[in-house]
Amino acid sequence: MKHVAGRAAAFWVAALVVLVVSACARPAATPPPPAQPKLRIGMVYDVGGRGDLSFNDMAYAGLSRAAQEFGDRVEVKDLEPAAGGENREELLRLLAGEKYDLILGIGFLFTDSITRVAKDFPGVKFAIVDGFIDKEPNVASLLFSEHEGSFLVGAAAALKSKTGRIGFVGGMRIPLIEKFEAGYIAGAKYINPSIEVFSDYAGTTGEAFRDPVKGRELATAQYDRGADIIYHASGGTGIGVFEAAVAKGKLAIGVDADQSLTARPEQRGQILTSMMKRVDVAVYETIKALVEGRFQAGVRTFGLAEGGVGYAVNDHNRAQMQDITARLDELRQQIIAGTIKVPSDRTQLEAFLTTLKK
Amino acid sequence: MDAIVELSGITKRFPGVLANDRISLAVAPGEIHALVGENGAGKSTLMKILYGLYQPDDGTVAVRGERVVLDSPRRAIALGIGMVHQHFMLVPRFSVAENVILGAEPARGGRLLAGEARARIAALADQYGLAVDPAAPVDGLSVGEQQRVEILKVLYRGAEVLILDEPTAVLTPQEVDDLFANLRRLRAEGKTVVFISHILEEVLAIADRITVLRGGRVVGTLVAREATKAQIAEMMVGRPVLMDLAIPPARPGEVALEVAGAVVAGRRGRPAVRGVSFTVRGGEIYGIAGVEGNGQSELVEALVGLRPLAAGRLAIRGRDVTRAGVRAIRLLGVAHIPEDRHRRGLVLPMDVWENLILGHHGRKEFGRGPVLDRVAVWRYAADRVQRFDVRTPSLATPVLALSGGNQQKVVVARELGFAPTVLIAAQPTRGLDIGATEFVWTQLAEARAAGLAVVLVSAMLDEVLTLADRVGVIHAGRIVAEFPRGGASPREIGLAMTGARLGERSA
Amino acid sequence: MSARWRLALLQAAAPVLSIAFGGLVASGIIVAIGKNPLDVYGLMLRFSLTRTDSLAAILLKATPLIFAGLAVALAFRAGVWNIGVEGQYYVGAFAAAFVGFSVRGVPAVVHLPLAVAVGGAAGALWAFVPIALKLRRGAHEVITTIMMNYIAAAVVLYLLADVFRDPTQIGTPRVRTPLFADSARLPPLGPALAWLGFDVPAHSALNWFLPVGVVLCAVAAYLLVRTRFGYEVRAVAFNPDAAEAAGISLDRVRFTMFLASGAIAGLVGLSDILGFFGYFDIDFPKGLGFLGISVALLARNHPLGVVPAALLFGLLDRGAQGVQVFAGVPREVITILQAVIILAIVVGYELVTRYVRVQRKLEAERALAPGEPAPLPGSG
Repeated sequence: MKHVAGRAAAFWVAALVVLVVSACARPAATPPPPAQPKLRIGMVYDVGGRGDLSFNDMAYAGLSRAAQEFGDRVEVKDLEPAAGGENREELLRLLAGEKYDLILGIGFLFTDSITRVAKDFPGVKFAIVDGFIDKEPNVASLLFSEHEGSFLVGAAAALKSKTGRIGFVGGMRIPLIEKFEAGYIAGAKYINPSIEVFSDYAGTTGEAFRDPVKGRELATAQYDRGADIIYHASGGTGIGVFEAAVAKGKLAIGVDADQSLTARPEQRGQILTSMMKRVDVAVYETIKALVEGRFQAGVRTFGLAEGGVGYAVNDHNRAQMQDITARLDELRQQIIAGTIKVPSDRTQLEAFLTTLKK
Repeated sequence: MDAIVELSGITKRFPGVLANDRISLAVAPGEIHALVGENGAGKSTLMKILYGLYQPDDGTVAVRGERVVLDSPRRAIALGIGMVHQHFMLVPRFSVAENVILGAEPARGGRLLAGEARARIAALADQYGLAVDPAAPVDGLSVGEQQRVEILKVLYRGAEVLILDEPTAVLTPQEVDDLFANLRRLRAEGKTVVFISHILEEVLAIADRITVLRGGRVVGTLVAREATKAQIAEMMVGRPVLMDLAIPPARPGEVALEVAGAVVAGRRGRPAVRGVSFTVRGGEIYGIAGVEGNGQSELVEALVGLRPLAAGRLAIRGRDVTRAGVRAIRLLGVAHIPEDRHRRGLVLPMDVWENLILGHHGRKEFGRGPVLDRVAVWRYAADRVQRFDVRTPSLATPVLALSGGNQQKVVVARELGFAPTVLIAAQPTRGLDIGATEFVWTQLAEARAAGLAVVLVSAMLDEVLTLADRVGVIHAGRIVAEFPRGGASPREIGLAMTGARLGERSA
Repeated sequence: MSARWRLALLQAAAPVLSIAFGGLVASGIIVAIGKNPLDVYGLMLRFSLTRTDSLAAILLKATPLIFAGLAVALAFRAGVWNIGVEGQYYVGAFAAAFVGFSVRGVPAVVHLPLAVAVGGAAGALWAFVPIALKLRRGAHEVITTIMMNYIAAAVVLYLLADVFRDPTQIGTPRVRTPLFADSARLPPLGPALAWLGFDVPAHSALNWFLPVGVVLCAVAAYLLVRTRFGYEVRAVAFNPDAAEAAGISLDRVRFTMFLASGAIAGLVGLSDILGFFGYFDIDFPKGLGFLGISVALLARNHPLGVVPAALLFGLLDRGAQGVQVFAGVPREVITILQAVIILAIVVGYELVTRYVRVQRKLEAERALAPGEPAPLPGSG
């Protein structure tokens, strides 16, 4: 033991010497590069950060597309908050303090932080994805018409269903998710007014978005009752929905990103399509607006018209989708044109359904 | 006489300590050579040098007349020197054979020759009378058997000289006898044994020659047949040692401790003490002799309140304490020298001063209210250390840094503090060297003279016979015989310890 | 130089040596991602120590960690393994939040202490279950406290989402309690620091819980070192068998320390919710209880060590933000770096401690110097 301790002591001395010598030999680190005339754009991710194959990765895609396209005019930086996410306000403040031109916060959890930081830095522009801030003169809220995209995948489900029964699995029961549900049911009934839609939610708390076991349970029950296609809007809970689809040999519809691309190989065949929430488009468009000098504060909604929502077609589902894409595109044009008004909550859905019955 | 191993002028320094000071020692082939000395005399250091674990600062080592440099145990083994460590280094899940060959696996082209190894081990075991089954897993073996495996390991590697570092410390008396039989057999087969110990009876029983170390120097080498215990003890300690205390006749006072029909549960709820009764008066020592494991530990724990009595009665100075806890019993003036000082007696990582007030820390002498008066505590601790001659660099030294004898002095100094009336001493000299043993004995005798009622539980018969005014022999949880001082021969008491009834003595 | 002095110096320098050791090990990772470790460390230190907003952020981050570290250290010191600080602080924070939003119209001098007291009491209550189970039934506290953590998370989530959710927030994704009354908010520390000549940025949520935490650590240290009870705690922790033989009640010591640990744990979240958010929401900072174990480990379970250990964590965290923003070091690398530094510090500290222990043993052997006559029996 004595030997170990002695050696350890010797090691430390050596280590210290190395550190000191190298510290003397090299001048201190270079300061951060001086501000350039480029527009500086910072982005702070939601909890989880890059690599979530969904929200954050799409935001990154939008950021890098902008960086590529406006390469000579912008400089971008993306940051991840600590595991619990509690330091997101500090990161925002750091970027604002460095006089960034535009700072994006990804996710509604940024609502309070961006509101506070925006007040302290009126000269900096902010944008929040999925959060609603309308009172600050320097904050843009980027929202999505999820009900419109859901309408299209609802129509797709109705067109593809052989049993005349389809399902919906939501995560936490909140208005945002009910918006998905309303659009989905409206789209399905629009195609087939007599179609039966089962609808279940995984819970009433945040855990409902992280509960694959519950997702599998709910989906299995719906399949057993005759549904052959289920649309989920439930975050990580949806993994369980896909598992159930594989187990039952039925179809499922993904959400937010093109989930066929990130699903496990055996699940791909069971994913009919995905309702895409194009966070990348929202991020890209916001940066583009800044570059072109037409950034606007306030709420901006990305719907079908803006390319902010849509359904996914890829190598895995092209064959399956082939026969219905024409019909879906037709519906899309009708929504953009305003011929179809997609309901976004339960009350509107009731009204919408009565118009169908006539 | 041509020495097989000869050490000349070995000197080894550690920072601030001269562990070996110009030691010269010649070991003859085929002898059992004992190396004795008090703790810290330099025995272990010397043997570690011989085994290649330490390099001497000065001096030379010669093996079979040739000068060698022992820079590693590997070299020592190659020269035929093997060491049986006090703490076994065995893999419990492995078989005896696997343990023996571990690190010296016989292999041909990378293939382990297990069968060959087992045959060789069996042959070795047979040749030296080391009864152990090569196929048995080590974790099922007794301590004595494990020691034989260690000896086999050394023999398997071709050792001619075996160093045994305090081999009897972990053994039962029966196992000690077996070990000695093994050692004699090794000697008969031409092996040389270096035997380290500080227990004089053992040394005189087994060794051919005895070298005594003190303070890092050789005091002398004796031929065992011509040596006496007192002579060796004096050489070890450096002054005449009183091996037999002169105990004045007892002047028993009031009854201080009364045990009636005590039944105490042992492990797994089975009674370990089955109805023990005795009384002890002030100014007398009541000895409890017996082979270990006959309920002594449980009885002691019950006496001090650590274990509840399942039945019976316990009174101290007339006060019934059958159901009292440790604290209440301590407050009545009961002191306790536990049988395992590391487990029950000391908080090893805590400092000397802290250990000296353990159990007294609530006393009003150490401050009013919840705060300990450090000055008062320090003064008290300094006084204790001086009175009991605890050898420690400072009061703020952790007790774990002290030698066993000094640790026991801390326990005794603490327990005899604040004028107790009853002293329960369990195996108080276990593991101590002569000097420390003598110290503890003197303290017990002084406690008796001061009027304490002393209960002395010991597995060492001569300890009980020397000190006790009355001896109760415990067997299987009962006091099977009781003798006044001088009322029975050691043989009679020994017989009672085995459970033989008194009436059967003559049978 | 005397050996005693050398040892004392080594012990004092141990944390510094350990940190240097940790930094050296972590350098390998920085080199592996193609950066210069000296640049990164230099930036980290300059960013963390030369900006007032950084200093405020470090102190803010350290505040809950002081409580968490102290809570863990108190239990560990008594040899009981409270892994349940995580759950205890959830429950404590929610209980304090309940007082914060449900009690109205009382002055701050009543409301704030009440919220703090209820938070502590709730934490202690959550600790009561595992310690009672241990002392009465022998259930191991490591298992039961972990179980209680799960229960705490579920119960708090239920109360938050289904019972006490702010009705004005229904219809939004925000799941939080109603806002607290102002009388339950912890006052900011900024003005006091400004008076001392240290200007904290106005937005900083640094509050009076920081000095409260430091004072608590100092009080705990005093109690543990100077009182009879503190003495008993040490004895029980190091050797319960010997403490028991000396008449110390193991149950009493363990019970008291475990409850104290739980009560302190109940205060962990209060700096955040009473000093910053002003409500309890689903995004409430998690994991502080487990971080507290690391803090206690680094502090060697000493209450006074908890403060610098928590500050070190705060520094690493703030420094991480700096290198992420200015040096482009990815967050993942920083997390690994933090873990490596902490691990290296713990290992380094252990090595120093062992070395010192060996040296002390040698010193004691020297006290029995060879050649000296053996002690005379009973000489006084």
